[in-house]
Amino acid sequence: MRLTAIAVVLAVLASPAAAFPTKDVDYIIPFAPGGESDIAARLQQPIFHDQTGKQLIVKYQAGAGGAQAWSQLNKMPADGHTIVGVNLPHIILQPMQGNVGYETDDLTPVFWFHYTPDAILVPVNSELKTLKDLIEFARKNPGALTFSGSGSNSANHLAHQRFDKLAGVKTTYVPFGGTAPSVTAILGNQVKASFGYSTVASTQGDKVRMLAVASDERLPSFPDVPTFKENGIDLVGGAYRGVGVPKGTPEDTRKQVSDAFGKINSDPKLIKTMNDGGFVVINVPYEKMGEFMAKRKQEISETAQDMGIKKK
Amino acid sequence: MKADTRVSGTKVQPTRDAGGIVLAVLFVLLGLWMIWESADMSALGAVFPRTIAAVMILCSLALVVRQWLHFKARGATADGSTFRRVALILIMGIWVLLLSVLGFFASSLLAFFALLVVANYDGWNRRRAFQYGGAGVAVVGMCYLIFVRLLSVPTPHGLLF
Amino acid sequence: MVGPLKLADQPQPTYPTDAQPERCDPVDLLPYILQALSPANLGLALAGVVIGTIIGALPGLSATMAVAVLVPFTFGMNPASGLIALGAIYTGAIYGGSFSAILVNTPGTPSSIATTFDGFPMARRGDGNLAVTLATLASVIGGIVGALFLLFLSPPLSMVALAFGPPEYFWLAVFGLTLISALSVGNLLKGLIGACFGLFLATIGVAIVGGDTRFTLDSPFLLGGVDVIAALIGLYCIPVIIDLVATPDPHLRVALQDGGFRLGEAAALCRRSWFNLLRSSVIGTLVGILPGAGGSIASLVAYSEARRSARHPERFGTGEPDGVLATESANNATVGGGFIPTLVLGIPGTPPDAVILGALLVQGIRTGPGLFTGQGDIVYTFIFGLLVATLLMLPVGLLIGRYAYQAIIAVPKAVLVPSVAFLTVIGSFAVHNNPDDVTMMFALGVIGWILNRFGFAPSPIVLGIILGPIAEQGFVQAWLIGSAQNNLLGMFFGRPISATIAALALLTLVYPLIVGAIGKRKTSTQEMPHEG
Repeated sequence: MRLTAIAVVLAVLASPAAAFPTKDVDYIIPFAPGGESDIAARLQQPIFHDQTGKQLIVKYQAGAGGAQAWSQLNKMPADGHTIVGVNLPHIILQPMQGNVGYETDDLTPVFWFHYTPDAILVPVNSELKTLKDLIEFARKNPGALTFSGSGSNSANHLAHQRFDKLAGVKTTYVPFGGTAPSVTAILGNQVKASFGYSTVASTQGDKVRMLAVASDERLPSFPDVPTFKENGIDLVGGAYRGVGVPKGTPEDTRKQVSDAFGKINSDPKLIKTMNDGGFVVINVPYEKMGEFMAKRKQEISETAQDMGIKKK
Repeated sequence: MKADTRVSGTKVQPTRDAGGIVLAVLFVLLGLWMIWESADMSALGAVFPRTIAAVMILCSLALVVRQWLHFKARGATADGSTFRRVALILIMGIWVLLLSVLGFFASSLLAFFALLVVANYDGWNRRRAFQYGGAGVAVVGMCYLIFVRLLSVPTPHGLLF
Repeated sequence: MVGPLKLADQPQPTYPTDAQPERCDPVDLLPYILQALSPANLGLALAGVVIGTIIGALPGLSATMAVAVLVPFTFGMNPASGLIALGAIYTGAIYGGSFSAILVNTPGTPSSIATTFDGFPMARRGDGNLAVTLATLASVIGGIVGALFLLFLSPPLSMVALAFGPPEYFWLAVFGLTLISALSVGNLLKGLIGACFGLFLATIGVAIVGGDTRFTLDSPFLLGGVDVIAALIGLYCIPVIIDLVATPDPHLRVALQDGGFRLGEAAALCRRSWFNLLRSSVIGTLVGILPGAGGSIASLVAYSEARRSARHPERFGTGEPDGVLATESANNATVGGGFIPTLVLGIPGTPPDAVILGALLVQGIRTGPGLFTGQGDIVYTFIFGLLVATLLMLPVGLLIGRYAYQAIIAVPKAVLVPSVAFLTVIGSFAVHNNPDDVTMMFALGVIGWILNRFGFAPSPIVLGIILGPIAEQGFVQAWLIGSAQNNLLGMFFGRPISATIAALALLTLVYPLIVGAIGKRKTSTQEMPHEG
């Protein structure tokens, strides 16, 4: 009799509705230290600690552009205390190109907290002063306008492809080994323009000019830069960042992680720092995840098909 | 930059450089495979592999021809225990495969002890076993403390640690 | 679970929008010198150099790994101190790599590859302690030259970084590849094949240009490609322990001379080769400025230049002190040189700089010429701290060198083999925290042992892996841009810098043939010990 009573009490106490977090959380970043994912995590760390009293411990697990960590995600502990940074378009694009060790649906994103909008950048002393100048130049000289960007079949490349299609021009995309070499290329006037992110304009300051940004509204830290939409080109998007959990994590816990990040993401100081840096803060919680991912998958597969990306 | 930078002694026998020829043939095959695989690639992506393959094949063929014609004293065989060499390779191979299965440091500790046995030429007594074994525990343990405890490096856990 | 040590409160990251132009007076620099010499910063510099040197000296552990693993440690420090710590570790590790290169023939880091050419032969004939002392002096001198360039000439020199576009990088890589073949004297074909094999390994994975997934056998394991450090460790260290285990002989058959540091002798050699040291340091600084080119290329170019202009070029490769002087001063000069584009342009000059740049960004430091004026206190304190750390390498290096030398001999082989094996495992793992790197390291190690047994040296292979991506990307990017501008020929051959480098490459190819012809006439009776 007593035993069953104890058992019942224990069962109630052990129910998964325990508050999150109950211990320090391992935050796995699938890239090398110093990238945007890392910076975001570092900004989230102190806020997480203030709000929950527990630590966010950042661990790096770089490899294969993130695929190494994502392919291991579902083997990690599924109690909500191991989370991994997730990125778009990577997690949709990578499995489309071959066997990377995971499929998009294997991953369980629970919250997307910001995106860095695609942007066209030119050297500050370029003769192309507005987006119109650039499109005109491209129309008069098909193929002659060179854009640098980070990698092939990457976010920059996708944006370039969509831009060409929407603006009705033909330009040349020159892939570089990362954002840094891509930026060096326009600083050194090796190429005419660059398809990068708004964050580049922020870090390079007055050495580059941002001609247009792929967000719904103008960025608060760059009020003079028009959006593509204003110019009649429906290009909105960029690199999204969020967190995900292993598949085996129970539903309630997923929601708890999502809520925790939602709370971090509404911290006014964080929002200001993000905006100053060229990031656009968004809140896509777990409840809206299905719809959000479906839309992104559709967008990205369309462009990918245009580019001929397919599994061999 | 000399090729033969090994420390252990070598006995030089006046034979053809058989090993070199075999390897050169393998490189030719590698080059051919590269060209074959590059058929699936885009134009930009295929340029380099094809060029490298072409150079590799040419040089390897030239090597085969030259080694075949020159009866040079190149076939150096290494002396020393082949058994121990193979044992080391096998142990390390298993070790590397077990890293994620047993855990980084667990498998390293076991491999350390196994390699102690393979590398020891001076015979075993109780004192030596403790000393060397202790050294192994010290080395692996210290790295565990530094990398996992201090630096939060995510080492594979596997079954153990 | 312990988080990173917090020596100071984590600063709130800021993105300053404007730089205030300020004139820089040399007198103004005095407070920064004093700040760099504060007990805390001095302590960090010393600790960094010691840790870096030890890590670099251990075969299997590399400078890139050291910086990658220790960077999170510095997030809790204030920016200048964190930078000093990282800079000290970095320069110490580059220097420390010479120890394992000289004593064990396993370069600790790609920058030390060229040091094995003459360092290891010197150790084998009993001049190991002299080689280590030479490496110490050369590293200090090279590091100081690089830091001085960083201090006084950063903004103009960063323009050099920008002047290098895809065609320049392509020709630079070709130059590097011709150097490899020129250095494989007597073994030209095997050297070329090795370089091609390295180039092939570099193509495995997802291509930057074209996006194809190449040679991955459709496995996720090969998708990430071959990591340079894993390849370096595997190709050099694994063959060494495989052969160590095979015989009971002691590792280095050297006379146990306790000639001490042979400092006087080394200093005299340095004085005599002062031009070589200066030239190599400048080469190292300039190559370090080029983003993407690192100490490996710098030391290679410096070595080749030293050999070309020497009175007895044929001595290079058999234990010529000038060879060690050239490579070690060049690779430490890349530390200072590499910081120039990192700080001025926000573009990493060398691979460890990429990690350090990340640390800077996390600290909220905005790179750019404004850094020198707007946040000058951080930058100047850091540069002076780097100078201090470089000077500290002299006593630290000599002391560690003496003990390293004794240790290699004193440790029983039974313990040495598993220890080195363990270091290779953890050293290849910890660069990216990726267990696949360990598997790659080992696989290449076994392949490297087989290849080395039959005359295919590891150096061309590793250099091929490093230069491959630079050559390929440079070529394809130049092609795309040139085609877009309808100026393909002009792109590749019409630019002054790339034309100069291409000419150097041609000279390098042709020169050994000339030397060989002259040499044959001179030494027709001397039999070369290694003939392909």
